[in-house]
Amino acid sequence: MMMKPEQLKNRELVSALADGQLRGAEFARAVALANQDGDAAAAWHAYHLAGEILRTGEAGANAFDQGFLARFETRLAQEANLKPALADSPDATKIVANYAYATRANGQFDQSNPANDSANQSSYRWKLMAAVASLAAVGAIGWNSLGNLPGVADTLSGLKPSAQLAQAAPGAVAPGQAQQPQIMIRDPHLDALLAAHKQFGGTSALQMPAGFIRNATFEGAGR
Amino acid sequence: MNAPDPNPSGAVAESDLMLVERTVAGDQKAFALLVVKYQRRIQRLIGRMVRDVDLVEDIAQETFIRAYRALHQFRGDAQFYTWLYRIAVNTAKKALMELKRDPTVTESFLKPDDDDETKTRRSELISDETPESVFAAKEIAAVVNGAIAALPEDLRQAVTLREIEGLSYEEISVVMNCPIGTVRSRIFRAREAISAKVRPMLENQAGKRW
Repeated sequence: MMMKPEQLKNRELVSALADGQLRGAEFARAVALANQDGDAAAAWHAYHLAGEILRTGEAGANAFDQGFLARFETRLAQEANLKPALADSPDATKIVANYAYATRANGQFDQSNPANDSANQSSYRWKLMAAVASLAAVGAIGWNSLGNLPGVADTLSGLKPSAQLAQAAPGAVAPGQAQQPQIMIRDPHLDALLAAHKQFGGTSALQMPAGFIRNATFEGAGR
Repeated sequence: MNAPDPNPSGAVAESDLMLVERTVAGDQKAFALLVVKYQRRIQRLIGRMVRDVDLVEDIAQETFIRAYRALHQFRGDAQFYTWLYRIAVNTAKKALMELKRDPTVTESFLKPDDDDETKTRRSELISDETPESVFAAKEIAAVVNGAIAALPEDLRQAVTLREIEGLSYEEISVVMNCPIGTVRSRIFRAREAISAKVRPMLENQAGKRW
């Protein structure tokens, strides 16, 4: 079957593309042909298969497998379906803006652009977020542990402004206390009982004497 | 572990870089050309590490997906195939590690860790590889070698210098003492002669999964 001159010319262009001989408009035309023209695409496939066999002396079990690209494109399309969700996020605007900044006006990717360095990679952002979250978690745990140490707890409680104020000026009253005086009703029997049985008292995790709670329970049960 | 340089021509490396740049700029189809160009080389590389044919395909697919995702990181310092080779080896090693952790997978899926491309392929059948597919692969290799042998001397020399020796058009023009345009034409005619024998086989086998 005779080939059309145009077809022959296209194939020659694809052959030169396979050898990296094309630049500029010829390169763009050959890329478009190899992608869109069925005959040129088949030529691109066959030339590379023949080249592989010439170099290695063998054709692998996948020599006839022309569905590899189709399967790859299907997988890629499945991943691309996730992109709309990304576009809704506030970060997406920044990513698109960075990409626009990194891309020249003529559509070429500018490798010399600082926006294209590793700091612009998505994995880098996740690492940064993970580092900040880890630091926050360590800080929170550390603060809680520090508060539970007896000596430190006393020091910290001593630093409370209201306590300091009360110690420095016994006559002075805290702003909240002036309007709502706190009254503690004390039971003389309970005080006597606590004084007699100090060994059962102590300080609980509440940082306050909790003996009266136990005594109150005891008294309730005895009633 | 060094990635071999299958085609040392700087023009090819530059052409690959141009295809990468087009892809990064939004022309996804440009990457398809790189996939077709390197899919067999990558599958052959992975096939030396993994025994199962389907797994080789999966790892090769994953390799190209990873490469596509990380394409903006490719600066062109190394050749594209060298970069792709590293991704393929890392992807295959990760897959092998996961397989070794899976108690349901037998050793028959795995091959010893010899990813050196200079080593010859093992002669025994690997999992899912049928005698029919092995025969077809040998047949197509014989057809290509036969087509090369039948070429006129100038065409055979031109395509051999290009495909096997990896010389650039300029170097071939010096060796063959002819203009670059003639080199381009001779290589194309040689490829067409081989392709004329190969294409019918490819069309007959289209749709089959090996």
